[in-house]
Amino acid sequence: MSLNVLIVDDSTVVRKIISKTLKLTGIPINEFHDASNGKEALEVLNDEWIDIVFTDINMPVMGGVKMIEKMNQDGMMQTIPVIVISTEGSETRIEQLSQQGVKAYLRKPVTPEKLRDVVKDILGIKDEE
Amino acid sequence: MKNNYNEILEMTYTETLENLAFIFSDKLSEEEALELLDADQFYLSSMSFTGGLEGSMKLASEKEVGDIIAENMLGLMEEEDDSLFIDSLKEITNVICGKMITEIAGTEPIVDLTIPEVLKIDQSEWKELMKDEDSLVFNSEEYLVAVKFKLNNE
Repeated sequence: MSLNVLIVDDSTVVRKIISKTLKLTGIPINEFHDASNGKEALEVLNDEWIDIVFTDINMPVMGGVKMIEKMNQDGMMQTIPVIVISTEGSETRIEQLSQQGVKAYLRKPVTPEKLRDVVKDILGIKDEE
Repeated sequence: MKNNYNEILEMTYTETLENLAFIFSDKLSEEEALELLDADQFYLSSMSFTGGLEGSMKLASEKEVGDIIAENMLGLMEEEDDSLFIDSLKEITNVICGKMITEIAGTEPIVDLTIPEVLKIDQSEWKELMKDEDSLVFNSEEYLVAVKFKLNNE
């Protein structure tokens, strides 16, 4: 199955790095969508079919935490797995996000291997035998 | 700067640039930095943090450092977009600040970080930052970078 991916980060460089890193994982990707803040991301989620979301926390206009809250208020969006990729390292924050349904929390910078393992685990993608 | 933060900042800065952008750096004394100082313009990336730990961080470098970071992080032969160097400086500042906070405060407290802002500064402003007691200065790939990390109430 090929994935439609949404990458949410106010940094163009980071969005490019995450998309390049995802390509290196070998996981089949159909389309990349990106957004520079939570508000833009919600608009994409309204308009496009998205299989998985990668998001930062600190962003202008609407941050990641608020975006996740809004996703949880929508019947369809709340089913989309969210992975947070952030520079923050607070375990208290990670626990809070986990309680909001975030599937994984990765600290920047992420390696292709870490990203691959997390995505495969979350989406139940098995290695081909 | 408190001596214990000097060492943490040096380690965090050099490791982050190596791991994220394949850039190797050496810490310089003020005198060494002044001898190498040639650029008229620098870019200052600033951010602050509140909550479990409160303070600020500034990183001021020559444009070329941002260019190299963008090129190395993205595997570009040359910069596709001239604005990417600003993005790179913001991201490096963000990553270093986050790591510093974890090193100092641990992983329990929640610390809210602002989004870095970048301004152009001139040589005299860079020198002022470099000479600040809470600053360190580095030679990163033959370009000068001044970094200041300060906790409030210290």
